Parts: sequence; C-alpha cells; structure tokens
Amino acid sequence: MPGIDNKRFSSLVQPHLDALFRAAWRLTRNRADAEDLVQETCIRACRRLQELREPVKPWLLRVMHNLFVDEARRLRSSPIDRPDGMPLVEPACPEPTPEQSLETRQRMAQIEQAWHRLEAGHRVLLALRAEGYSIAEIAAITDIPGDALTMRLHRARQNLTRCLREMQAPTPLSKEACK
Amino acid sequence: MNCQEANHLLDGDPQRLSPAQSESIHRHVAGCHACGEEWADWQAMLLLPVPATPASLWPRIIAALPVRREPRRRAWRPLVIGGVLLGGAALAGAWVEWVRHASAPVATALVAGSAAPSRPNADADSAVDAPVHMPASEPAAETSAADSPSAKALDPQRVLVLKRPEAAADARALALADQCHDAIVRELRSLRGVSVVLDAGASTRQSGQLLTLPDGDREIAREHGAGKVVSISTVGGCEALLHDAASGAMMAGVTAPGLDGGKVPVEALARAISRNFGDKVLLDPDSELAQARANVLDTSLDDAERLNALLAPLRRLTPPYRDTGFFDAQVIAAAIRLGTNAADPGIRASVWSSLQRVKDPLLVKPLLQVLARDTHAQVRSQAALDLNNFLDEPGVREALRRAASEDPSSTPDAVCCVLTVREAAQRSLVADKDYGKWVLDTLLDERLPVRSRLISLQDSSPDGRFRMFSIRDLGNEAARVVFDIGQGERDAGLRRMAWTALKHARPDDAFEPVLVEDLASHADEFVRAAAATALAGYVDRSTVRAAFERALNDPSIAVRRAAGEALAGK
Repeated sequence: MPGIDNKRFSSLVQPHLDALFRAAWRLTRNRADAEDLVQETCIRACRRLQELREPVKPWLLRVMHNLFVDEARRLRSSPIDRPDGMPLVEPACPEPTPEQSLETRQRMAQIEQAWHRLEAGHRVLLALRAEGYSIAEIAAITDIPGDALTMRLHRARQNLTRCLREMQAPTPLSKEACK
Repeated sequence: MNCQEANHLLDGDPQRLSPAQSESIHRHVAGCHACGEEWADWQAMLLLPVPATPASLWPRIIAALPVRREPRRRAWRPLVIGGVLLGGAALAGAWVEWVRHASAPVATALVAGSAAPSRPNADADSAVDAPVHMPASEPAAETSAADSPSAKALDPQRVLVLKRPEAAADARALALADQCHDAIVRELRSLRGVSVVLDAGASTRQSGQLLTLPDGDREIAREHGAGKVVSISTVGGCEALLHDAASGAMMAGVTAPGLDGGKVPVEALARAISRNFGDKVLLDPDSELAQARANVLDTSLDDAERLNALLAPLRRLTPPYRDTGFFDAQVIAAAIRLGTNAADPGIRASVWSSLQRVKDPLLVKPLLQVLARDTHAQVRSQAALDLNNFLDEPGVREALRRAASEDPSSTPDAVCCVLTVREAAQRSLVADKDYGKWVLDTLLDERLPVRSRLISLQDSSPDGRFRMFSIRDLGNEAARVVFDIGQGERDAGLRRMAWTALKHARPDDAFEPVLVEDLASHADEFVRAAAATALAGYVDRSTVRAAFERALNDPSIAVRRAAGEALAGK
C-alpha cells in the first residue's frame, strides 16, 4: 500500500474486523451489503488514519452506523420502489440442516422479513444490542442519550413483534414499513 | 412492575440486577402477554445465525484503499467512435432524471447491487483539491483522419463526450465516473447514425455550469464539429448532462444517486442515459416531440417507454421550453390510463407529476379517484399536488381536506423531502397567492412537528413551489425561528433541514459559532454539508473562511463540494 501506513492501519482496524462484519451483517442481513458496509467503513478509517487513537472500535461502529442510516435514508428519500416490495433477502442459512424443523425455518424466514421492514434506526439499535453492546456503548455510537435509547430499544422490539404479527396474520394488514 | 420498568431493567447490565429485581422482571414477562411476545421474538432474533467473516474481506479492503499519487497530465488523443444507442433497454437500476423546473424524479425499480465497486483504476489520480486529469479509458475502435481538431461546422448528430469530475472528487468517485463514462462509450459504439468524439480537455465540473456549457467545452465541440456535448461528472455518483453546443443550453440530464455505493449497475445507467439522450441527438425538437407523442399513444410499448415519452416536453430545455400542443385530449387520455393502470407505482407517480402543469378539466375526476384509491402513498401524494390546479372544481377542496386529515399514510418515509399524502393535500389547498403567508404561519406554529414546519423551506419540493420565495422574504424573525429549531434538534435529518433553510438568510452573528462547530465536527456528513451552505454568506469572515479551508479535507465529498463552492463564491 504505497503512501499508506499499512502497519498502523492494520493494527488499528483489523482486530475489529469480525465485530464490524457481525454488526454489518445484522444490519443488512445480506453478505454483499455487509461486506460493502465494512469496506466503506474501513476506507473512511483509512482517510482519518492520522487522527485515529485507541479505542478505535466505537468510532468504527459509529461510522458504520452513520453510513447505514444515511444510505437507508437516501434510498427511501427517492420515489423508488422495489420490484416486489421487499429487499432481496439472503437467507442466513441457505442450506438448513436436516435437524432444523420446518417450523423453525419458517420462523427464521419470517424474522428475516420482519427485520427488513423495520426502519433503519430501529435496525441499528437492535443489531448493536444483539451483538452485546451495552446501553452506554450504543449511546456513544448512535449519539442517542441513555434514557431515550432505552425507550427506543423498547419501541424497536415492539415494532419487530408487530411486524411479525402482521406477517403471520391471515391477510397482510399493511405493506407499509413497520415504524 | 410495569412494562416500561421491566424493559428498562432488561436493557441494563444483567450483572447489576438484584435477585429481587430479576425475580420481578421474570414474573412480569411471564404474566404480561405483550412483553412475553416481545421478548420471545427478540430471543428468536438473537438466535439467527451470523456467518463467519469471509476470509477474502480483509484483502479486498486492502485492495480498495485509496492510493496517493501525484497528479499527472496525460496527452489526450482525439478519438472517434461510431454510433449512438437509441434507448429501448429496460431500466435495471435506480436513477434520477433531472429535469429543469422538475418535480418528482422519474422512478424505476431498484435492484440490490451485486459486487462492490472495484478498486479505483490504478491510473486514477487520488483525492483532494487539484484538478484531476483522467486518463483515456481505452483506445477508440476507429479513428478518422478528418478529426484533427480544427474549427468545423457543427453537426447536430455528432456528440462530444467529456469527463468533468468535480474538483473535490476522490479516487473512488473518479473511478466510478470512469466506469460510467466507459459504459456510455461502449453503448455509443454499438449505434449507427451518429458519430461520437472523445476529448479530454482538462477541466473540472464547477457549480453553476449545470445549465450552460462552459465556454471551453463549447470551443472543444467547435473544434470537433460536434453539435451536442455529453458531460459526465462525479456529482452524486454519476451524472451525465447533454448540452447543445451551438447555444450552450442544457437539453437533458440524468443522475444516478445509488451509483456511489456500487448498488446500481453501471451498464443500466448507461443505457438509461443513452436512451434519454438519443432522441435529442437524432431528432430536431419538433420531430422529437412528434415521436414522443406517437410513443405515448403506442400501447405496444412498455410503461417505462411511454412514461419517458410523456416527459419529453418537460425535458425540452432549449427554447421554447414548453410545447403548447403536446398535451391534447388524446395524450391526456393515454396518460390517465397509464397513471391509473401502470403496475409500477413509481411510474404512476411520475405520470401524474408530468401532468402537474396541465390544467385540463379532463384530469379532475381521475385525480380524485387516484387520491381516494391508489394503493401507494407516493401516487396519492402526487395526485393531491396536481389537484391544486383545480381548487375551484366541484368536490376538489372537500377531497383534499379529507385526505389532509384522514389519509392512512401520515408518517413520512423520509425526514425530507417527500411529502406524505396529508402534507401534500394540506399544501395543495393553499393558493399560490397565499403560499408565502402559509409557509410563514406553518413555520411559526409550534404545535406542528418540526419536519412539517421546515419542509416548505427546503431547496426542492415536488410541486416546485420552493421557487416562490426565499427565507429572506420571511424576515429575520423567521430565520431566528429556523436557527432555534436547528440548534435544538438532535435528529440529524431535521438539523440538516434547518441549516438548508438558512441558506438564504442574512448572516447573523448568533448563528455563526453553531454552524461553524457543526461544519467542523457534526457526525452526520449531510449536516456538515448543510452547515457549509448556510455559512456561505459569511465567507468573508476569517473564522468562517478558516473553517471552510479545513472542510476541504473532510472525508465527505458533499462537505468538500459545499466548502469549495462557498470559497469560490458560488
């Protein structure tokens, strides 16, 4: 990498690659999008290499959070509709094991679909929470104060449940995003 | 213990819960149906597997990192390539058709991207500020001895293709624009009937050049005898503009906002650009409109083709700007059928948008039906806006009032600036003569959500009414209200809206420190960019100028662009 301090970049960023990918996966539920998101986050880190100081991980996650939310906003602010009303969902386990029951597979598919119907802000909160970040850590990443954050997490989970119930109802109640 | 308390404790650190608290929580969850469901779904979500990090990811990241190189000037060779592609290929990517005095952009289906953008071309110059010289992408298939640069009569079917990156474009943006350019050139090569010239006179895209071709480019066009010029820029990812070389006037533009993230297939964008520009290159304006009319009426064409034809008069950017005879009864009837029956809601919305300035009473009944019954909020919203033309027709005001209070989609899809149906209906009830007062009253009404108070002060709106006034018309009080809203707003989208609205306000000492701080350090790049545009009027102040200079190194191209424009006095 001519012109870039590759040792410094690798030492600062590579240790967090797994954490970044896991968070990106939970956000996007799509391998290609998750890789793109991680890549863009790392490129931004590279641009700021001289300023980066440990701990770097919260900053990286914050950048990723902003990229994800901005992209979601950009997509939703243009009057562009997806062909089938839903984003392409790559199944987490494209080849389910024989041990998995049909009911489990159906449940997983429903949760995947409900996840994609959540608004971007709620997905971020749930993804970070699912990855085990504390309220304080999530607050630092998203710049949402602690008390408001707890309420939003609660709302996010409520919306996830609501989306699931709507999908499980005999007739879909709404195709609008779950807010 | 109630639900809120239980959730609050469950989101806290489990190690800090006392045994009694744990017991209370579990009792509550076991006994509360809502919480029980919520936590069961949450636990199920936690169990969704997460794949291992791909081994190829880190090498891919390393390969994608920007490489610093010294800018090099390359010798350009004039190239001649045959052909222009006439559109017809189905659109497969997201793009925005830029139309002067435009309302809603043309929509099409979005397809999730495949591979991430490849590493910037090794020959591409890196980042920051100096004009970048982009190398010729590939040699021409044919050359013509007659094409040495010398003054020639302009051939209306000869197209000069130029790369015009923004000065602030980084290596990644340049590489994407390169891909876009190369794809367009490949499309051009497959066409017959129009000759295409490539030339790379070194220049970057400056703001303000949008509507008029720069003199330097007109000169290059004259040297090659090209009557039309296609300029490809890095704005928003990939932007292509078509200008008439003789008058310098812009004829059409296409922007692909999704291209920047690698999500839009470049080939699809290139086909869309070629399709939109092809008629303008091959046909004179009257023939172009006649062909467009025929296409609107041709039910054998697909909906996207017919919509493209319906937009032809709106794309007429050289005088006369609007065709007075295009929207006759037949065309209106065909447009109504398309706007009512097209499967794609984006197409339906765009059809109604194309009719926004058509004041034919034939439209009233279909618009009322669409407002009442279309399943897609965006379509109903556009119908509501169109009905502003017919406020005095029977039933229109009642329908708009009903939509303003009862339409089911009251929550906006985005912070800005797509109007909900209710917002569109409320706005539509306001006559033009009352619009300024309505905007001010709305801004000052603290009972309303912030978004509603600010949305009419943004740079664009689906009905074009943002052109009717600027915040200066509303006075210093309005500017202060906007500033107070923005300063107190933690939501980045709403804060950005406030700073965007302040763009035309007179400088105020109280605003400067907050805007400068946001420009320097707000986490959201679009808030930083909006702060930069709001500070443009303060550029003569040393502290602000210094902030702009620092912002030229911002990682966000939007911020760098805004800062550069402010410093250049645009």
